[in-house]
Amino acid sequence: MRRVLLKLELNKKMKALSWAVSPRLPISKGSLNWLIFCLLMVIAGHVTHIPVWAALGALFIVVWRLRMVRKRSPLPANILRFMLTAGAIAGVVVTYRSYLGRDPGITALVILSSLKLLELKSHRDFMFVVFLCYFLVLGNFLYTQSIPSLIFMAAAVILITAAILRLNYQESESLKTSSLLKSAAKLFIFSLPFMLVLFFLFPRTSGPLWNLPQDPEGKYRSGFNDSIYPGQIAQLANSKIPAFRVTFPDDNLPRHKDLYFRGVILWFTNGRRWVQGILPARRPRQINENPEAGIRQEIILEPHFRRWLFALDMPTILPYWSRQLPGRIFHTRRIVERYVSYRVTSQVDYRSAEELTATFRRWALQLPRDLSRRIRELALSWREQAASDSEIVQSALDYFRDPGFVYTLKPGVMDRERPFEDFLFNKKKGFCEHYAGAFALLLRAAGVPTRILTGYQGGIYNPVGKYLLVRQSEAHAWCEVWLEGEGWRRIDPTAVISPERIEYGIDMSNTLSSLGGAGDDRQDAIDNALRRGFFKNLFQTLEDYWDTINNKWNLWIMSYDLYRQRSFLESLGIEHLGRWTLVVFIILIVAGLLILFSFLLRRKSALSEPLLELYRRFCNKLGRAGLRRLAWEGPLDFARRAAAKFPRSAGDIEQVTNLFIELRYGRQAVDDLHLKELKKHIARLAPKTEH
Amino acid sequence: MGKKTKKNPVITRPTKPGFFLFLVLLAMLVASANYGNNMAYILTFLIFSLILVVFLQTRNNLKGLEIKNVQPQPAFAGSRVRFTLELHNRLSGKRYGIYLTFPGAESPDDLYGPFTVGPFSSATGEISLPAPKRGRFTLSDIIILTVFPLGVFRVHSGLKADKSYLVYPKPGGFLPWPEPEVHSEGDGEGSQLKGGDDYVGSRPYRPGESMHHIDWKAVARGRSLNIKEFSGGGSGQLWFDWSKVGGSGTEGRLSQLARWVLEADERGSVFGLRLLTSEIGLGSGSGHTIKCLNELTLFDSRK
Repeated sequence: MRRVLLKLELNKKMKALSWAVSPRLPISKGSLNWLIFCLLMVIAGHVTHIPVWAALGALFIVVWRLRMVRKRSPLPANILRFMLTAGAIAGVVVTYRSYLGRDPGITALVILSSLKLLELKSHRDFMFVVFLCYFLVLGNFLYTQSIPSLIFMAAAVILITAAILRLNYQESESLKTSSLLKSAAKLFIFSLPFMLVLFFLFPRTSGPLWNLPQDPEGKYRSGFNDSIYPGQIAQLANSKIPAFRVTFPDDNLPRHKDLYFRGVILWFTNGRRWVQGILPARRPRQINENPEAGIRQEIILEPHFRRWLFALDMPTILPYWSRQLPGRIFHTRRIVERYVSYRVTSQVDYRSAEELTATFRRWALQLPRDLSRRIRELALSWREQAASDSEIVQSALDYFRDPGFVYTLKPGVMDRERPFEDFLFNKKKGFCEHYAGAFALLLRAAGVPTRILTGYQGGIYNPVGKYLLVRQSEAHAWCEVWLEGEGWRRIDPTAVISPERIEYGIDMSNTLSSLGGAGDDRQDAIDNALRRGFFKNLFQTLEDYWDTINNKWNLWIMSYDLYRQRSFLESLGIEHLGRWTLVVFIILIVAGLLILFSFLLRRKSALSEPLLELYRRFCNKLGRAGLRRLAWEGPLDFARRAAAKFPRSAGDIEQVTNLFIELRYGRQAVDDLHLKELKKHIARLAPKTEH
Repeated sequence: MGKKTKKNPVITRPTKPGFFLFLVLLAMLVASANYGNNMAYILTFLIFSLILVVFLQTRNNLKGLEIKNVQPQPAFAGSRVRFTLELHNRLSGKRYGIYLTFPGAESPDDLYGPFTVGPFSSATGEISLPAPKRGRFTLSDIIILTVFPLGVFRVHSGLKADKSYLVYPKPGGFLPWPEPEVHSEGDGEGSQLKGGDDYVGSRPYRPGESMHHIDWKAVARGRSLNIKEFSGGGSGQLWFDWSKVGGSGTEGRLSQLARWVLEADERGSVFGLRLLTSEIGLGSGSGHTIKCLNELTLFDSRK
């Protein structure tokens, strides 16, 4: 008890040291240069995000400050700084008509941080600029979260750390840039394990803590809207932007022509556009029949700022957190504004035997009141000849087999009022949405329930990462028709016009459509396109590697959220951990790492001093030759004995001993040069007895 | 039992910049969570991890540092007492940014440093602390402190010094130079004195002194008021006597006596010091002076 009290009292005495007793480090020229360089670097990361005047203004101020450092001239007057600040804020408000949001915020941060340099005098100001630098690095991630941005961040953090180090070293000695960077990099590397633990275990929230203002521009990268009109998907045909990547854990990648990824069902049309309409969403219903036919997929979806999720036709087991819409399509609860990864199971040849309800029949037969007369007449002529709905489907497909119809990326502009009529009877050049839209109109006019699906067809298999890359250019539209006794059947009119699109993919059909031709020429062209030269192969492989890295990045970093964290912890065997348990868990691991690191970083005692180590080596060498140093023997006595026993090496023995004594007990400071010399002498020593 | 409690604890506190860095990190964490931005999470956790490693490094920076040869320098009340000392690193690793201070330090001005100490080697340092009052004091601890490498944490620890030191009374008072006492008996001591009216030199006049000794000729030549000094002041003995320094309280009297002692030492005079209960005989030289000053310093405590 007394001991505890004593200790407490001692602690109290020591802790009483006032908070203010902390060195105020002088801002050296070197540290200021470092800091300005760091600021310049993080501002450079934002150059494309801010208006030109802000970038030039910040650059001007930074260069001005650098000049002041070099010339040791005084800082500008308060009034000037105040005016510059006010001017900058006014500039932001005028440029953006707002001071809230991402872009105005970043612009203001850039200018104010450069202005802060103009009043940088104390340790406190220095650290303030450091904090601003951190925020500016953070701001980068509001624009991009790619792998290069990670490298940029690592470089920025190391440089900023080096700048703070430079300040803390003060003028204690002439510091080399390389040694500063080395210390900073060492700190960085030591901190990585902690960072990884925190990143993967820190409890994630299921959504934003509060709603953020949405930035209007640049959000709609996705291929299509929740409606299509002729010419819309064709715009995407050359877009190599990834839509999502699919891994097949069972290695059962379906054939290319079965790679239909369902996205949205468009039920309603006004004769110009097809739209989804407002549909009831409910919890996903899982289909568990015939599970061995299921194709499991792990999909990492790029942010498309919509809610749709994609899956191979026909998805049977949907993510539990998703929402299902009529027609077995599904979406997220929230707009997909960052990478989302999910697991889904599909059966390629799944047929639903459900009856068509009256509502769905009404929807699937909905037609615009002003449907073109020619379309209606064509459809009715089929109806009259056909005995069943499937024959009507056949008639429609046969109609598209007419050589006049061309599958092309550049269908041209259709008539505004009756685009599908214009396409069917005049232009006859179309992309998938033209064929799907016209087909659906014709079938509905003939009384066959039909709906349009949009999604993706095809994809490029990446043999390196073993996944399927689906790009925006793979966007596709096709139809589903209701056939009595069979259910919904997928009918893709595009497959009739351009079988290559479905068999080989969009790239092939693009190549072919640029070539033109038909028959044998066409087959030759296909073979030609499939053949690859050495360089093309190499390039493709490199591209595959890079995309694989991106895929891993998206899987482990970009899409790591509450759900991924849950499944990650489950894969570690930790399940149902509460948020606070997780925090305790983190603290324990971090504490363990700290203990480990404090052992690794511990200061070593003099026993491992290099000088003693070298002398020990010397003694061992003589010991191996047959002369052991006695425990009580001083270096001089030992040297005398050794010189007598090994007269040939007497010179070396003497030199080693003298140097050691001088370094150990004399005035000579131990430095690398002397140690090297000592080492050299010991290496040369070859004690041999006289014969 | 006692052994462990004697070891002074090493205390780590965030510095002000460190504290603000924590606030910044908190803001960054909230931003990361809000945007669900994983890269922002990575940056936040990375900086936090850097701080964790820096925590270890800052604590490591003090490990194995010892203080040796603490030597107090003479000091008078009202000034500062300086200590020279040796800072020794008995472990590996060069130490940068080491500061020294004393318990009760209140501002960064009380910090002495930065010192750099190489591995297995020493550096000399100096600290000073205020000496407001005369007497014997003990410097129990010297606080060794560092914020290296990033200035985010302040680590400090008390190192046992247990060094006692004296603070002499502040020299002061305006009383004139005491008249030498003429003793009829005991010529022995008197014979050591220099002859009667030997001119020794001159020094500036202080208010309250006898006008007789002013070097009026020099004044006439346009110099300032100087006192002509004569050693011995006749054949009398110079005694600084407590009982003859009237008024102005104990400290005032001691101040006056200290001033005389110092002045006498400066002039190289032979003098004696007589206090209430003790007496230091006639003598001269720095040893004698220090003996007298010690006597004055410890005066009260003898009572």
